[in-house]
This record gives sequence, structure tokens and C-alpha cells, in this order.
Amino acid sequence: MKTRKYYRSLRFKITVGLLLAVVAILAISSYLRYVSFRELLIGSLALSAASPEQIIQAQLAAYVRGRLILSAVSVAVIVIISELMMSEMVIGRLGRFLRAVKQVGRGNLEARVTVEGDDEIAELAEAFNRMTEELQREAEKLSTLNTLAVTLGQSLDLEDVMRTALDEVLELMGLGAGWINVQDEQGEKSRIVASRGLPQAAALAHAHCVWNRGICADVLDSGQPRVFRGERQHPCPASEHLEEEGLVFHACLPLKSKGRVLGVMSLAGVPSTNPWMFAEDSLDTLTAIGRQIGMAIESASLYEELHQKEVLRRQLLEREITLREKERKRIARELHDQTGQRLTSIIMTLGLLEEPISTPEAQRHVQDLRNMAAQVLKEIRNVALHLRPSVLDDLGLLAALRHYLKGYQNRYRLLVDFQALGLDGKRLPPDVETALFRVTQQALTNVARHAQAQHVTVLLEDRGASVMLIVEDDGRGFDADRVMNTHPHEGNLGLYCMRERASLLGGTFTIESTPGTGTTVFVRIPLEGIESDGREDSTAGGG
Amino acid sequence: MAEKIRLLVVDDHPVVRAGLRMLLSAQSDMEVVGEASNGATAVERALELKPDVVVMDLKMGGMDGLAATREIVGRLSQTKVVVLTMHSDEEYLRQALDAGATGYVLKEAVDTEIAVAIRVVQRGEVFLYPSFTRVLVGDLIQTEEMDDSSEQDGYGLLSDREKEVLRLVALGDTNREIAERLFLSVRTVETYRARLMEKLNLKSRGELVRYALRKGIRPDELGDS
Repeated sequence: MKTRKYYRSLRFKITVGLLLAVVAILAISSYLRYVSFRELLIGSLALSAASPEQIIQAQLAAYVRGRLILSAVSVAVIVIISELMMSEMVIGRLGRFLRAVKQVGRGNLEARVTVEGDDEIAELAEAFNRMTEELQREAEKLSTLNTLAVTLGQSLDLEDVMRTALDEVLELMGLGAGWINVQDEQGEKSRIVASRGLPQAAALAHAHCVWNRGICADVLDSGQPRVFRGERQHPCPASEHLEEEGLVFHACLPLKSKGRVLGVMSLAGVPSTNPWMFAEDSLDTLTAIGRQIGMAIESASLYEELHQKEVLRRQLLEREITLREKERKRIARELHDQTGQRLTSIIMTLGLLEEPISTPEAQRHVQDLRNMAAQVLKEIRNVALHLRPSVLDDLGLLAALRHYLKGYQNRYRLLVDFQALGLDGKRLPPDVETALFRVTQQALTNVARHAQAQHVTVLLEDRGASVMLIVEDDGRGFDADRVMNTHPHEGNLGLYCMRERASLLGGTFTIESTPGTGTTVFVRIPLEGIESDGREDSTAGGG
Repeated sequence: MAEKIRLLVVDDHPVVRAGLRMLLSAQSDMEVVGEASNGATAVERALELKPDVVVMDLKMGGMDGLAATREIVGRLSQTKVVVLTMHSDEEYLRQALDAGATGYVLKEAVDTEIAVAIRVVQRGEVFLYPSFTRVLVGDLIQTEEMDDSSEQDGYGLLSDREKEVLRLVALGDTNREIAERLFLSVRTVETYRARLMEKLNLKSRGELVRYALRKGIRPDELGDS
């Protein structure tokens, strides 16, 4: 709008200026003509004796008036014509130019200005068109890279990512074939992680291609992309086979991340070349594409590494937990079977000794010994119980929990409402029983230590395909989301342990708590797919 | 002199068997007629010797003491079983009584109690280690207390939303799951829950679940959905 107003006022000013200038020129020239005409007239009159000066004066005046009117009319006509020409030559072209600029501004990079004449405006139009073309290429490049980035971000599986990346690049460039080689960690061997439209023979040839010769090696060493503009050469052992398929080798790009070449992408297609590939600046784009794919390779391999470490961590943890339980069980049994039985025997023998001994002092000693032995036996029983309650192995989770809760309630003076649903007489897989027992123990210990609760509920429910445990208190609660999102430390290690226990069995652990609302722990463990053969080995007995 | 009580001693530890034999033989009214080191042999020997009382260890290799007790009591109506064990866990006691034992002695009190226990069960009475009696009585009292709680019914006072939250809590859903299912915030679910518990005079999740079961709001047995 502004520009239009500006043009209108400009046009007005130009018109007025021209008008004034033409009027001034005509007025001056008329006056000059009048002066010379009068001199001529006076001269001729002087020759033919005297005539009345008034007549001459009047004739002269009339002539000048007529002249002036004629001049003014012709000036006006000239001005109008020139104005129309100006308008067409400058303003109209500028207007069309303006429309094109606006279209480009709106994102239509196809817009071009028609070049007319050879003046400055035409030059400007040409420059504008060149700039727009440039812009269009840049935009295409950016959108290529953007599409690629989006594609690469969709998965973390190396082969998956490489396949989609290759498809994307081939489609964007209109090429028919391509393949990606990735180096192994030592940088000694490469393997094809993705290929498209690659003839079997070429793939074989390429697979046999020694990594350290041929075009791949060049690209690997230099880290620079190579583009072949139709030269008849065999940069790669695969290219002969490509030719049989009517394809030619187009380019070979390094896939780099942090300056390290991790692999190579090779591109081929039909010989009728793809203009995009041969644009002057295509190298830049190819380098950028290579860098993006390189980074994707790096993230995929880092992810893979992380994944493997996680698997290893879980295996170690599982082993650690199993071993610990096994060891605890072993020690508990040992205490029961060996130490316990010997002490029992000692108690019995001392009981027998008591009567035949005559002196009261000796009798008292025997009595003391007997009591001491009974005390030790009790303590051993408690140690064994603490290590691993044999009732868990012998009679199952339900019995073990009932027993544990009895002791817990006495110890902490806290009433626990325990309900078991769908579990009567049933045994769960030993791993599940142990995990649920330990989680309950941990959860209830937390309640006793931190919650200041009035009511505690333990719910255990067998739902056929899964078993669910809920431990809930109405204590002071805490910010569970925050605590579970911080790294494991002294304060939340117990929570992490519970979560690990559940997750090792493919289950879930959820804790809901906010300050003031109490705390609820939910554990769900799937039972399907786990063998339920009841109890563990019940050999090596002993009462 | 009356006839001696004929005893079968069953324990997988020779030292314990020897001690028991010594201890029991010292009693003028008792006689150890046989020994066994495992459950299966115990049943065999019992059927063969028909003892008055079997002193039975609870856990042994092979067939365990519980099964042997069940078998012996089932087949020999005159024979009583006293369980002698290290386990003070009430669960073992329940199991032992369930299997048909009428005596239960802890090893730490073997010297003073075993002879008494044998005489008591021989008379057809029950002998339990004294601290257990308290446990059992306590259980009875506690169970009654629980059954008495919150019979007043405010179910009619609940809004539809509160009823739905009650059902889902009783099913064991987390607050977040309930919130997602009902398109509410977790906070709102907490509020509904607190309000319905107050209306129903429920103090804990345990009471809530029990209430829901009693009212048929949730089924007794749940299959996974």
C-alpha cells in the first residue's frame, strides 16, 4: 500500500515538474521570437515610411496571445503522452516486479520476473531471477537435509536407520541404486548395512572388494565426497556389474561423525543424469548428508552399546540377587541343620546331667549351661529367619508373609491389614515368591522408618495371568516422582531395589505418593510364561 | 507299674536321635521302641511297631515330617504325634496341627517339655509350646475385631464418580490409571477417594477392598483383563 502511494505521488510530482518546465521554455522562446519579430517589423516599417504605431502594437499583441494558447495546448498533449509512456515503461514494470517480489516473499520460489528491454530495470530483473533460483536450490537442499534428519531420528536400530536414510536419499535425488558400508569398530572390515537396487553380482563384488583399495578407500582416507560426472571409469569393483544393469556410479560419500569416517554411502543410477547431483554446490549438500548419516550411525552404535550394557547389567543383577538368596538360604539351613541340631543335643545331654549331680553348685552350673544353649539356639533361629525365612521355601509366600507381619507388628506396634485374594493353597514360582516377599519387607521397613502411619495395608492378589502386590500406608508421604527421578543414592536405594526386583521378573513397580497423602506401592508380576512347579527343592531337611 | 509309653523317635540327625533316646529312656514311664531318620521310614516303622507316641521332626530329607504325620495319624488311630522342631513360626504349627499332630515342642525346650508333652498327648490332650497359645488366642481376637468394623453403610451417599473411583481402587488400579480412565487429574482422583472413604467410614485400602468385596462391587476372583 505504501509503495503504491509513493508511486502515485512520485508520478504527480514528475507530471507537475515537466509541465512547469515546458511552460517556462515555451514562454521564453515566445518572448525571444516576439522581440526579434518586432525588430524586423520596425525595420521594415522604417523603410516604408511611417505607419501608426498603435496598429502594430495591437497586431503584435494578438499574435503573441495566439502563440501562447497554442503552446500551452501542445505542451499539455506532450506531457500527457510522455506521462503515459513513463507510466508504462517504469511504473508498470516496477509493479510487475513488485508482484514477483511479493510472491517470493510468500515462499513461492518458482516466481520469476519477465525480462524486457535492456535498461537498468531489466538488469535488476535478471539479478532478481538469479537470486531466486539460488534461493530455490538452497531451500531444496535444506528440505532434503531436514527430511533426512527427521527420518534418521525415527529409529535407533542401525540397519533400520540406514535403510530408511538410503531410501530417502535415493528418492530425493531420483537415483535408482545405492548402498551403505559401515566400518567395524577396529576400522578393518566393512559390511553392507543397507542396499537398494544393487544387483546381486554387484553386491557380491562389493562384498569381496577389499576395504583398503578402490574408491571407498579414497573416500575413507580423504573424508571428501567424490562425484562422477559420467566419466567412463571403474571406481568401484561393483561398477562393472552396475553397467550391466544399465546403471552408472554417481557418487561416493563419506559418513562422518566428529571428524571420523564411519562408513561410505555409494549412489548409482541411470546414466541420464540427475541435474541435482551435478549442480556446482552439490558437493556441499552431499557432505552435509554424509555428516547427518554419520551422526546417525554414531548414535545407533552408542545406543547399541548402551543397550548391551543394560542387558549385561540386568544379567549381573539377576545373578547377584539369585546368588545372594541362595547363599542366605544355604547359611540359614546350615544354622538350622548343623548348629541347631548340635545345640539341641547339648541341651538334652545337659538336661540329663542335672539330676544325677549332687552338689547344688554344680547343678546350678549345668542349669546355666543349659539355658545358655537354649538362648543360643533361639538366637540362631532368629539369625536364620532374618537371612531367609525357611517358611517361604517350605510353606510359601502367604505363610511367610503372615509370619513376617506378625513379627513386624510386634516390633513396630503398627497394625497391618493383610489380605490375600485368590492365593489359597497356591504356590507361585519361587522367584516370584522371593521377589514379592522381599519387596513387601522393604516397603514395610520404609513405612516403619519414615511414614508415621496409622494404617497399613498389604494386599496380595493372584489374578491368574499375573500377581499383584499393594502396600499402602496413610502416613506423611513424600514426593515420589522427584525421588524416583533422581539418581540412586542412600535415600532412595530401597525404592530402586524394589523396582529392579519387579523388572527382573518382567513386572512393573509403581509408587504413588505426595506429601501428606500417604504412600502406595504397586507391584505387578506376570505369571504366564513362568514355570510354576511349586516349591523349590525341599531336600536337606532338618527340624 | 503301669505299662510304659512306647515311643518312635524320628529325626534325620543321629545326634538328636541319640539325645532323645537317652533323655526319654531316663523316664521311668517311657520306652523308645524304634528310630527312623526320614518320613518314609517313619511311616513304615510306625505301621510295624504301632507305637503310642511318635516324636517327629518336621523337616527331613525325602518325605517330610508333615506328610509322615498325616499318614501315620490317618492309618493308626491310637498313635499320637508330637512334633519336635526348631521352628517357632506359627505357620508350621498350623500345618502340623492340620496334619494331625497333637503336640508341638520347640527344640530349645526339649529337655523340660518333651516328656511332659508325650504324657499329655498320650492322655488324648493337646500340648502346645506355651507362647503359641497366646498367638492363637490373639488371632481369634483380632479376626473378630476386623469383622466388626464399619458395617454402617453410606454407599447411597456416594456420587456416581465416587462409586466408580471406589470400584477402580478396589480393583487395584493406581491413581494415575484411574485418572486416565476417567479423564480426571490425579489430584481429583485423590479427592474423590478421600471423600468416599470418609462417607463410608473406611480407614484404609484394606477396609475399602473388604467393603467392595462384601458389597459385590468387585468380584472375589479376578482374571486378568
